[in-house]
Amino acid sequence: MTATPPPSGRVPAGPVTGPAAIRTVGLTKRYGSVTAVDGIELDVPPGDIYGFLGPNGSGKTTTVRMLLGLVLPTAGTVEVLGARIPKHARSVLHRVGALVEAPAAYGHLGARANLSIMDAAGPGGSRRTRRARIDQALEQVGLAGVGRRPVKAYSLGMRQRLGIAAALLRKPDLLILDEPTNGLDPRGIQEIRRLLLDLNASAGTTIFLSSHLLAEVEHLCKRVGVVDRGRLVLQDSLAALRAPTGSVVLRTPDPEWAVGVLDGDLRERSGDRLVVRATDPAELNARLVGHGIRITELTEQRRTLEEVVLAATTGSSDRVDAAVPPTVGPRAEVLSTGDSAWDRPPAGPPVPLPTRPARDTFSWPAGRDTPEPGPGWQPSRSEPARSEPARSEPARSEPARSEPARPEPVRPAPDDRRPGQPQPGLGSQPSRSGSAQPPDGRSQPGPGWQPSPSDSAQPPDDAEVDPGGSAADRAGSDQPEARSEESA
Amino acid sequence: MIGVELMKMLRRPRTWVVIALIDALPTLVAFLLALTDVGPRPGTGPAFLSAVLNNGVLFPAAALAIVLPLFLPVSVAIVSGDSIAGEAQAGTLRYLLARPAGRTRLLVAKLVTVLVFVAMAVVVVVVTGYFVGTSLFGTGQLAGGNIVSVSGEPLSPHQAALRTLLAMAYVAFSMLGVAAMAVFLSTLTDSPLAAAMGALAFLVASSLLLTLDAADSIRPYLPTRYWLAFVDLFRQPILWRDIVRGVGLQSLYVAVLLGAAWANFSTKDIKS
Repeated sequence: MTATPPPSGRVPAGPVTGPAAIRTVGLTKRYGSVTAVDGIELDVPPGDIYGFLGPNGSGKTTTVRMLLGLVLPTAGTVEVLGARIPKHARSVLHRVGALVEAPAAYGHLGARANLSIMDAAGPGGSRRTRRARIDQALEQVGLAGVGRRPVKAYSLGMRQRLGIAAALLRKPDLLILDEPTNGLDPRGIQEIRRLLLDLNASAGTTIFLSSHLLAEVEHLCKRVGVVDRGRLVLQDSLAALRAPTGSVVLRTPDPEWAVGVLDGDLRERSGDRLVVRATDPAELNARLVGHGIRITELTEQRRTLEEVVLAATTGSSDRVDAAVPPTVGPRAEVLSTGDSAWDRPPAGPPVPLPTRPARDTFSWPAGRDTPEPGPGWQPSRSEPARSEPARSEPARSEPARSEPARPEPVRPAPDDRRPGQPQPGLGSQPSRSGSAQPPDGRSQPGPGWQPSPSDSAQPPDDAEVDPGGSAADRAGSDQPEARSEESA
Repeated sequence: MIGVELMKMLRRPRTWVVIALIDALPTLVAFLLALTDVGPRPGTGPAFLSAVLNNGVLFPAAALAIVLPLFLPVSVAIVSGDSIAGEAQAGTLRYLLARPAGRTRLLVAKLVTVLVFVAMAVVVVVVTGYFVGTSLFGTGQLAGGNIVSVSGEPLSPHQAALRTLLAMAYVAFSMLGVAAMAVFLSTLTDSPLAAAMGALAFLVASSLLLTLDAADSIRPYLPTRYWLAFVDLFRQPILWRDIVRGVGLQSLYVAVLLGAAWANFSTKDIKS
């Protein structure tokens, strides 16, 4: 994220130069009695990379569709690149490249024929430059050697790349991308991320990225809007959202000594991992080392985007529990950046973990010793040491939450189902509060929130990547038959 | 946009398979007739078939009569039903509209494509009918090259050609009612199959009511009522009454259904 064009979008509101790339006022969409989108006020300045986040079913896609004139708003207005949508869609939408939900193409045609058809289907795509633009777009997404193979023979990742190529075809001023890295492997994800960053830096392309892959957004975006149940509950720069929490996380082989030295500054402790109230990590380090305490790890605690988002949203609408509908308290308020929800001890009186027969079909990777929840309680981390703070405990009006050593979330599945997880509410389980909290305490993050594949498998941003890498869907590198066909 | 849609249709293998199938039935009939030399008795079977054995020039009209009741409407319903719903099912509709292709433009382009398809199908049927008919049954040299019209009077080859052209136009126009119905349904659903089947149900209902005496009062308004009136073009002189009514009725259906299709599609939330 270097050398971005002047309007960096750090300012929370207001146009920087020229009209906003996207501005919606009171954008509302009702389907019958269901309000899918409720008064959303988006503000995306030109040159920004904007992450549009929210649980499944929170209204992201409906909003994106309204931006593109596919769904007509019930109330409110949409302006894209300064023009009203859908009224003036024809004059402006050809400057917008879009990927809405999944890519789509005519299966019996090849990549070039598909791009050619889409380009010819609307204004703004000059016929003379079409060939060159198609070649360039395919080159950009790594499909240059794809040949004439029909799209129906493509892998998921190749289709995704083709969809992105279609969005890039006319060198758009604004890219509206809905889950652009769906179906891509980690290397493909990184390629696309670099491509987007490069487009933003070199051409000043505004990028509106709708996603529920938090790591994706965290890596790319400058500003973030979080939508929950059709409402925009958060819109701020990522830097502000990820402000330090005022705590430092450290690991030490001498936790007892450290606790003694730190005295009242200790916030939480679990084994050798301490969370300490301190604004200056360097000063804290010096203080501990001065007492002869060895430090293995010391990090300023910042809230992860996941924590921010989980705190701001209420739940996944694709989770359907039986019995009582989820009692969602007052809509989650926009967080102040000072206090972290993560710091908060679980609310309510400590409740011992209900001892249930081992009906869980998944196996716990760690011992099932469950710490007694209470103030200062900290989920013990049985995973390898990570510098980031533990996963969030969003502030919620829930009864006591008892959280055992949480296994690392299930591998990101292509869909939202978690294999092996007992379907909550289906069995004859004891009654529980109506909230989306299964008795095993594994409800966070909900099924709608998958950790991004890049969360774990992603090489660091600056890792050296062989561009002709092994991404299976990268055409030209591993498809000799496609190339030979073309050269024949 | 129209050019794009035409290219899409022409590049689609299905288009040519459907046309080939439409064409196969009358060709098969011709070969069977030529092999057995057993024509239906005059007044029975598909129109013109009894006359064809004497003069192959009439076979194009006979071929039209063979495909008109079912094959042609089925193919038209499939292609028209696919127009919008097929794009919706493939997911390309949202990209076309976000491109932006424009909803009205897209609908018009689809309609033109359907028209072209109908014209292509009719032309192919008539042209192959002509070649198959004349090569299998000769050009009626025994009768001095003249064709016996449906009403018994002779038709000159020139007249026969002209009337075959008129018949092609009328048959193609008759298909527009089905096409409009299928396009309208296509804007309602995301399933091309449902749209095509709905349009066919519309036709089957109409054909069934035509045979029902109790439906006598609504018979003049049924969309298939005047389809076979193209036979009247081969009377001497031409009996225009039903043909004119047929054109008027089809126009009414087309106008109403396309209006509904446009009204629905231009205000629809595209959620596919």
